Amino acid sequence: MLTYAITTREKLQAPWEEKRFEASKDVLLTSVSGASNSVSRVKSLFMKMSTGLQQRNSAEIFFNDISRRYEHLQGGISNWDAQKYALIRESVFEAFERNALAYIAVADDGMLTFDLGVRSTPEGAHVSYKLSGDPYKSHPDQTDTTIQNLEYAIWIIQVRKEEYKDQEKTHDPSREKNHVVFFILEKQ
Amino acid sequence: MSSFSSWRSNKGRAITVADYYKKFGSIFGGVTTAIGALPIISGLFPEKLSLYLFPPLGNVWRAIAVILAGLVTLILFFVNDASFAVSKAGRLRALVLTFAFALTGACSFLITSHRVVRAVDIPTLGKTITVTIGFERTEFADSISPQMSDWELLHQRGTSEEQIRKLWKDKSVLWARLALFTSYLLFLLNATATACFAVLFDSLGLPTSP
Repeated sequence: MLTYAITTREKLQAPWEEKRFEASKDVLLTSVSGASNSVSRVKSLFMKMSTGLQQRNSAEIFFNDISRRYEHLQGGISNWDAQKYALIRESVFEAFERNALAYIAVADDGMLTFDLGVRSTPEGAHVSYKLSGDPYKSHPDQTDTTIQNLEYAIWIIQVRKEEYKDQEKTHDPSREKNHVVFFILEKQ
Repeated sequence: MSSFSSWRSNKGRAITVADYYKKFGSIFGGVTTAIGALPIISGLFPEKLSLYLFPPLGNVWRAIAVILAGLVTLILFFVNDASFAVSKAGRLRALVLTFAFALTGACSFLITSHRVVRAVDIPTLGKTITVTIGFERTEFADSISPQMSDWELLHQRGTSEEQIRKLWKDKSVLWARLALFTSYLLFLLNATATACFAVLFDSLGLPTSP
């Protein structure tokens, strides 16, 4: 699905596509409707195969979230005009990509990785993280944010914000169940 | 095919490959199958126990071990015409020798495992990850802390293959894995052979010479 989204996006990014707005809009509408139906099919299949109430409840939330995004897009696309073509196109493909990434993330759940939430007060601090012995890797988003797919190891998290002191904390996912680190930043 | 699959013993008794494999339904056959399938059966046990039944080397090595054990059962069929197979002393010698090699293999496997296999607990997931490390650490690993134990290092950096290659020298990891696999094969193939001999001798009937 991710590959499909990327290749179709490239085609629809061509300059002449904006002039053929109505035709392109139809393509987008059909694609969104197809993707939405596909999510419903996967959902019903998953529900048949799920074994517990908790699993079904989680699946309900997971699939409904994706479906709602598509429904919202379907309603919106019909009302948009040619000037907003680029915006429509990006929203649609962002939804496809999110859908694909959500599936990948769930499929990868069996792997030994986890997502680490980094929160700070005040928000908007720059986040870096590393394993001991490595240099810091910069995270693209500022707090509050989530670093995804970290391996089970002891991670060192650093937050930096102007006018505040730098802070560093370690997180050991094999000892701490709650994968969130909180920082209360102090003024310099 | 018949000349290939059935050999006539010294005393004129013939068994076919089919007769031989039918005998795998007996107790000795069951034991042989269980030993030969140890690499697969190990997957059913918890990680901490399964590492003694098959080392943490991956599924390719697991498949190789099972195939080799299967080959041993076939190869041993073709010794049914050998003189030792019909003599009491020869049979005893074959059983004792393969058993002794299996025991040697088991000991060397335990020693190698003790040296290069590490089990890392992840209490929050209720899981244990077992990995095979190398004999010699890299400078990078020493730069983190030379005093750190292997378990602490793996706990700090994670248990992925990428981390193992970063923390232990490539060649030493390779040699460690080869040593582990060789010692395991020494045990597995000889244990399979011991049980297989029992099946074969059972198929051949009582020994015809002392």
